[in-house]
Amino acid sequence: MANILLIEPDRQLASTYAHALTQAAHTVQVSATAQDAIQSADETQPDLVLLELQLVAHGGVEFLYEFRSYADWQNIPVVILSYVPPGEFHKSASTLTKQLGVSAYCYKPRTSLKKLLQTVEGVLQVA
Amino acid sequence: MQSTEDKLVLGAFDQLFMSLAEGLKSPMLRIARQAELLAMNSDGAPLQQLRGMQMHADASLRLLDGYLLSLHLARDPQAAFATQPVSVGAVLYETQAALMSVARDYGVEVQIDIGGRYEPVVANARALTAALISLGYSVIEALPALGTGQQQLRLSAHRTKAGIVTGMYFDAEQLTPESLRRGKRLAGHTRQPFVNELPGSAAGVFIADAILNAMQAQLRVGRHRKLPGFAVTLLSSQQLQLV
Repeated sequence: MANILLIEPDRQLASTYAHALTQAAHTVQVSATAQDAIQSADETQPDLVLLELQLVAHGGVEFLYEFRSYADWQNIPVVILSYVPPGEFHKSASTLTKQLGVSAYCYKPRTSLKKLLQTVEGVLQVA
Repeated sequence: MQSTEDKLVLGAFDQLFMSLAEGLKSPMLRIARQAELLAMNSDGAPLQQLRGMQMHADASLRLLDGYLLSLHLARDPQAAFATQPVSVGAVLYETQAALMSVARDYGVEVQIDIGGRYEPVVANARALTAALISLGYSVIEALPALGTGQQQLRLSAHRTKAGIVTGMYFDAEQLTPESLRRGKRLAGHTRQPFVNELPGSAAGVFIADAILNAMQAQLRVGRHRKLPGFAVTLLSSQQLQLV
């Protein structure tokens, strides 16, 4: 069981993902914006972050840079769960993984709930 | 020949359709994941229907992605020519896996027929797979409507002098090269461009055609082991042959 911070601007989708994660015995905090997510992380100290890159105002990558700038959060695993196809990051894939500590990349249209739960379990086991 | 004005008009529509396609992903994804969540908690009668909802929504997402990929490749020739040696067998197996649940729902059997071992072909692997999956959706939907006995789709690769021919073949004798030419002329002008061969808009065929065109390859109608079907000829990787 883990405390998961889900950063997802789509309320409907966020509810569905949160339900699935809760049924898998995790605790879920949902934030719709990067700013709200930073505040939530400060309050709840997540064990894992699920992050949509397409956020309003401040993007997911921008959030990641800020998130990793805090000493306490440098080792918290981050899983990208995004509409942005992974191919768009092929030139900066190493930045995402090495510099920003992204543990896994899930392309939303191809990631079923089952696959998401397996990915989360896998990342938590390694962390 | 397109006038400059026509090109501008088409460009504006392309942008609108791109926006629409991206926009449709959200509701489709919500449907797919909500259906999956309900199915995870259901052990009664609705389970099959919920899985069906999830599957068809996921199939719609694939088609939307295929369409967007075709536009992206058309606009970015560098991306289209980001080719590498690709195993045709691997592409066909991935296609079969992606089509399996939809095929099951339509009562169609998807078979693989790779007659031998082939050297890799030069292709954009992601684009080639997306094209075959898009094509497969249209054909699988069509098969029960054709009223033929054989509900089988054969994914096949075989060698010719021109290269490695990769395609999907099925029991539809009315499918001819002229069918494809006529279908392409009628696409966008009629609700059923393949009036005698495939029901509905056959969007998957045109998405596949657009993706392959962007890769400088051509979708055509051919025959293999006595069955007609859609196919594309790919060049083998000469470099690997020399190693």
